[in-house]
Amino acid sequence: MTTPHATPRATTEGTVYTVTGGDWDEVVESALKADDERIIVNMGPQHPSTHGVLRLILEIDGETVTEARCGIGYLHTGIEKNLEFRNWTQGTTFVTRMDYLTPFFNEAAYCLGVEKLLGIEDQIPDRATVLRVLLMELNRISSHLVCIATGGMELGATTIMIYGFRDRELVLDLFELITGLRMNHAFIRPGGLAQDLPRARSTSCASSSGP
Amino acid sequence: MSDELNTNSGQVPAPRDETGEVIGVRKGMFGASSGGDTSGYGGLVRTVTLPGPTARPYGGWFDEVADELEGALEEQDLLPAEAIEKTVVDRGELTFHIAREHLVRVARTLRDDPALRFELCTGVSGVHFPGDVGRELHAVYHLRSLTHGRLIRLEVSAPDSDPHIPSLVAVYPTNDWHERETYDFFGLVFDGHPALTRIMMPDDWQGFPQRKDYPLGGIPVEYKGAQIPAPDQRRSYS
Repeated sequence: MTTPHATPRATTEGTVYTVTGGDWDEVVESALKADDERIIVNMGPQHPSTHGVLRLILEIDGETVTEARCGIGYLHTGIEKNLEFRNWTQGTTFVTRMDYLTPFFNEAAYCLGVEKLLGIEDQIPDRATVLRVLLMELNRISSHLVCIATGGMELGATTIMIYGFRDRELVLDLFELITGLRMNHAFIRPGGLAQDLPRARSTSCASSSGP
Repeated sequence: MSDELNTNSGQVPAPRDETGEVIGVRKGMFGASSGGDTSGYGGLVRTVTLPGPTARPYGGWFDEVADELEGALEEQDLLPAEAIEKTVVDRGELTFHIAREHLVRVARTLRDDPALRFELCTGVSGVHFPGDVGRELHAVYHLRSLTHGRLIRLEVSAPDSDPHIPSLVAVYPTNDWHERETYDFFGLVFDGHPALTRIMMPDDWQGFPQRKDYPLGGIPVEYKGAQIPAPDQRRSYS
């Protein structure tokens, strides 16, 4: 390129280009004129809108992505391997972190599996089962609020993001009251729950459901 | 709760051979053996038993699925006894153990037969049984029939010395990444997979981390002045 669209500046790390001005149309135009624009681009391993660490290895022909490969291993945590060296109760502490938006579902799925393996499904107290369902339903609401909030953020709507996270806090406050933690509860255990509801439950739940 | 579709709905299966298949005996809590016991689990002795084959009737819709599968295989001039090594009903779930050379045909039959129609394969999991000599590596598939509302399990085994299992990507295309993952963690080679590469671990990783003989690893951590050893090195666990 004859016209420098970005001013070069020599540093000890090599040449650094500082992109300035509103001349992007010219940049794209000059890129389109060239024939050998098939380049490989690493998108990620971090990207603000990927909700996790995803690496896309893109083959780009001009502005068209002609091939994409996914590198998805960055979020692998080795939880299964770690559980081989823990007992069943300790396992809840790990699985609650698998999806930090739906910890109760992780715990419930894990505990139901353990209980089935032990053959103690009939001995789980009804009250524990009911509380599990109630916690999961609240958790579903809080998880969906984050989904809507971040969905709005991807469209550039920051207001809905603020509203979503604000209302999620009401649910998380209840979780904190019941389990002691906003996230990573490890509250559902093989055989039941870690403990019963606190006494102040009825008024707190009613006030959280208000406007 | 109505889960008639996925359980035996009251019909009790015939008692299965309680002996099962013993593949090992575990002592203590987590297999570590260095140092003295401070956990209270040191005296624990447990026999590891895989459930043995179940005799008919299996109960509920299990018999119907088994009949249809065996009939459909016979129609293709494949003896069911050759393809299905054993049928296990355990904890209200139905598992077919399939000989690996017939896996693709059995899966295709399960998918296409109108009376079976298991349209969805929810992936493949690996299991490593070091004590199950000659069948150390297992691949487990869960098949869901949306038409009939049924869930069954297929289990295929391969010896450690020849860890090859045919790929099911041609039958269930969504198994692509799942088979890569099972290869990545267990070293099971899925023959016929379009691009069997590591998916989670780095491309140049050595070894298969989810095998039982693969160490957990970890380094000692200093906490409040004391050295806390890595989890698989803690003597309290033996």
